[in-house]
Amino acid sequence: MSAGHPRFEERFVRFLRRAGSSYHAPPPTPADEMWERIEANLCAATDSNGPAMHRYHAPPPTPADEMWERIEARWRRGTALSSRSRMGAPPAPPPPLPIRPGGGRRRGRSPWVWGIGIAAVLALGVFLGRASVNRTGSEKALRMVRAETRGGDRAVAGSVRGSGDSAGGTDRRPGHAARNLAYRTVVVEHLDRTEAFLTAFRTRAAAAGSDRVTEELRISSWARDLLADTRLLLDWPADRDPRMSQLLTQLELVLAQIAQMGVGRWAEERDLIVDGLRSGDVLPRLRAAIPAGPALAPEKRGV
Amino acid sequence: MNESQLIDRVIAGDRQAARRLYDEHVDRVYRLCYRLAGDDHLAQDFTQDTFLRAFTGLGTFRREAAFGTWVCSIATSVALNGLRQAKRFRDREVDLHEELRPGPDRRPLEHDLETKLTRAVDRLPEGYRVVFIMHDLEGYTHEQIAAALGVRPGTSKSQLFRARAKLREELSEFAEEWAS
Repeated sequence: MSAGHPRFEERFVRFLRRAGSSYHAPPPTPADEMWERIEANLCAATDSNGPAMHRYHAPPPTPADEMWERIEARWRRGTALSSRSRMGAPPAPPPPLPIRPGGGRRRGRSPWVWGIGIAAVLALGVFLGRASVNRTGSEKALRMVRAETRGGDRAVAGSVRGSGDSAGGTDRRPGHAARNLAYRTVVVEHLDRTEAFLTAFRTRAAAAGSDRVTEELRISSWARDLLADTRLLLDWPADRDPRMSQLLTQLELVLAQIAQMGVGRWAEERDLIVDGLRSGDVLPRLRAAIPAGPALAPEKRGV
Repeated sequence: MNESQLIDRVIAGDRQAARRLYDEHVDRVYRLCYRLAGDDHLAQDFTQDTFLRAFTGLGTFRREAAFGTWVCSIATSVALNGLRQAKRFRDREVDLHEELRPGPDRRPLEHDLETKLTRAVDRLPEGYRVVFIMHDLEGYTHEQIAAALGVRPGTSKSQLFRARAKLREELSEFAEEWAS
């Protein structure tokens, strides 16, 4: 009877359940003991403002207007700067062409040199563009995410307090809109990086490099960074498309698996992960979630 | 009083209703936390944290799923996050001990099935381990697991399949116990 045989499988599952029942076998639940501590927490700081449990990490009133003013001011400043540079300011006069002592065009310079020069300028332009996009928009947004996640628990508690009128509805405050805008910006950027990583991971799985251990450590560290960002995004209190939440959760799982792969045990684990990527359609779903075009242009994507 | 009415009363501040809701679900939550943590203190901490979060966030519970499913998803998240933190501390301690302890005799002896199985389950990737524990040891359905972990039932099934494949491989020396 082979390992794939249904009866064999059945027997193995029965065996696992029997043998596994002792795995971290829980003792009788100390329900009363735990309840006492839960109740003590719920009762803490009782006053006349309502049920004590609603005051767990009770946030102060949200300084929504104050925060919005700051966001708007910074936003305007950013927009003004970028629009001035694009259209408001008169174009700078072109620099005078340098006149060489000899005058006229130097003979003998190959068109290849011009070609290489143009290509280099283009490459530099693309690099600077990408770098400025990554360094300005996404970092600002990521800072916002971090600030938001720090206040995340308080925001949740706040929503509990105000749940009577806002549960299930969408908060239309301007601060909320800015938060969602920043969130989407960061998510797109993050998905882009994760897609690059998973593609690299999948292809490297096929071809083992010479310096295997260094490569494995590098990939683990890369996965840990992405995992941290994924968790940050999962914790961020923003209006989220359930499909996006699902995708982020799936990515969290995959990245956690990659980050936890032990050095030297890759051969056995990475095939399973690559299989998982394939069977879960992770990369196609990830690519479908990344809008075409530059990563940071949320306004143009109807955010 | 049905569950929805009970929840309304908890939201209104009725402590007895909270206790009833707790009594109905605490065993399942504690068992799951204990299976994941393998430690009574951690399991109790996770269970308390789960119910505190559930009670304080009850206003956000949409009631599309059962309260049990919702509280189970909180428990999974609390336990896994807590374990990651605990692991970070433990790893630091282990590193220190490893540094201090000389000699080749570091690996514990593995004699019996129980030890090997425990090690094999502990070594499973987190996603596989959670699904294996929930399905094979605690009897959750794939639909319940999917709802708790926020994945599709198909994902839960494939994770379980891979978990079992890995365990079969790790426990191959005991093959005659199930193959005969």
